[in-house]
Amino acid sequence: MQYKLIWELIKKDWAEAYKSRQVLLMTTVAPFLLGVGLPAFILIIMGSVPLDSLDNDLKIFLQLLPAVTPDWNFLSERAKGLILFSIFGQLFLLLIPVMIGSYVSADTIIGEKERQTIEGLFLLPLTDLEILIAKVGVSFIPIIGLTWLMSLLYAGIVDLVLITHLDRILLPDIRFILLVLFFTPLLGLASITVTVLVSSRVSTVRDAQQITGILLIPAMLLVIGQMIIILINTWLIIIGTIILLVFDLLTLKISLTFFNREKLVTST
Amino acid sequence: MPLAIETIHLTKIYLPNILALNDLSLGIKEGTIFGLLGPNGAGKTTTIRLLTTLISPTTGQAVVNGFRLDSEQIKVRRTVGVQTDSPNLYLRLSAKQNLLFSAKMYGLTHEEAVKRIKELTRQFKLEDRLENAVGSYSRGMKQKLGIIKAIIHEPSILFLDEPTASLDPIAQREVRTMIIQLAKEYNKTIIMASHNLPEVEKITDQIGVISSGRLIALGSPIELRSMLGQEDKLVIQSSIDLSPFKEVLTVLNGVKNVLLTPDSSKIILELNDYYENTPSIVEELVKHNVPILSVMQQKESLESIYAEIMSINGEKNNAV
Repeated sequence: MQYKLIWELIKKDWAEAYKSRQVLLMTTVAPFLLGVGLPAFILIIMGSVPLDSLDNDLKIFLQLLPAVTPDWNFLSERAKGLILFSIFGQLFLLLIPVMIGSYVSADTIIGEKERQTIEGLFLLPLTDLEILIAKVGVSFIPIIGLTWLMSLLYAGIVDLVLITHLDRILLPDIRFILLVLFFTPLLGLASITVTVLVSSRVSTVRDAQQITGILLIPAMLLVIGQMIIILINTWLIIIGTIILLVFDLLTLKISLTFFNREKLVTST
Repeated sequence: MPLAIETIHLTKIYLPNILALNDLSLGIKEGTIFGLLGPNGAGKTTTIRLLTTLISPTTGQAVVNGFRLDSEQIKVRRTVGVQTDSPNLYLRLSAKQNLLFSAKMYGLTHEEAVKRIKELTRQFKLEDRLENAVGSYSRGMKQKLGIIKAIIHEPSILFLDEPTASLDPIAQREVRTMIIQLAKEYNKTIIMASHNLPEVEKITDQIGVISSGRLIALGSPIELRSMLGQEDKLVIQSSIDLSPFKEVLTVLNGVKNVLLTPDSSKIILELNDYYENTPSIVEELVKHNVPILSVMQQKESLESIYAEIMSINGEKNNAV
């Protein structure tokens, strides 16, 4: 494996991708607004509203929930509500890698074809696997970096808001660490591998982004709909991580099988 | 001299059933400038794509720089440089970023790459625009940059697709000089697909003409001429009327035909062998005290040779 060359290709793709204003916005402003800004805003509002104004339905929901933290039964309803909303905010952290993964990888893979540089790419002394690793790495590395950075910021904001209600910091706990270190990056990787797979069948970046969106968004909504249950259970996060890992490896393997230089070079 | 490229019954069929290259067998020696001619869609690009591992042959085999196309693709790619008709340049990046990337991908260190970029961009007069985004370049500048990118790692074989198509006359001459220099001084093999026949005639050692996927003619420009029976003509110019000497020359050994220009100042002779027969003809005229102003060899242009090859090929195809 020619790791040095793979790294050079990744660096070139970054230099190229980040010259695009859309890619730059999508990977900087958008994640911070959606992943940190919005959930933090909701939490701050929730933390400052009077106790009585908590919705009755929410109170019932809180009573029905299993213990989310070891001291759950000793917490006030407001503290429980804030913990619940802090978990709800983590759903946004899950959305960011999916969004960035599909957007950036479509630009770097099918963008080569659209910008007529795919012949140049295939003339490089790299194997199919090395090209695929580089193209996945271009999106995956920023996803990991952004996820960890945003999670750190998010944890800080959650702890700042909740510390007065809990008399301790909430994050990071084991559930959050598993979520940030493994589950979220693998979810982002899933969106990249699906885009790679789609890219071998389309001609333009827009087509790739649209098809990936059509495939990923309903699946994401379905998963995210259930996520609130998954997020409060450490074992479900571990199981979800394993399922994602298998899915990612499988789609990567399929992508490599379907990777057809000739088709990409000769098709218009 | 060893072969840089050898193809053995190389055939490419695109799905569902398009025969793009049909049974190509040829050998190209190291240090040769090989011109690949043929109409649009003849199979030139397919040939280049096959020999640079961009596509795989349906049947047949080829050896490039001693490496097999089917099993040593990475080794082939490391030793060839390719300038294709599409720019293959990253328009959002600067010329320097494009060239640095290319150089590093072929194993040059940063220092080596910077040095080579400096040399080549100076040679091609692009050093002042090195930091600019390639998207802001003119077509000709992109073409020059494409050529620099193809030769930055000093490949043994260089594939050029219409290398001078968008260049101004001065730049065209520079590229031609560079091609000749690479082949003759550095023993690089150049495969050049082009529609610019005068240029191909000027610089190539060997020409292959492809039509409908088949190699229909192969040889040096001189060999192609003689293959078609288009011998060189002898043109003699004098300050006097040459018409009285027409009959004297007609009976000389080796002379096939004698023509006079309308003003009778020039005489055009078709000979059996230009080099063998010319001295005796000049001698005969001197014997008759004819003042000779010039003795010239008139060659058929590659353009007319190419036209004849294509027309013979068309007739053959019609007969089939």
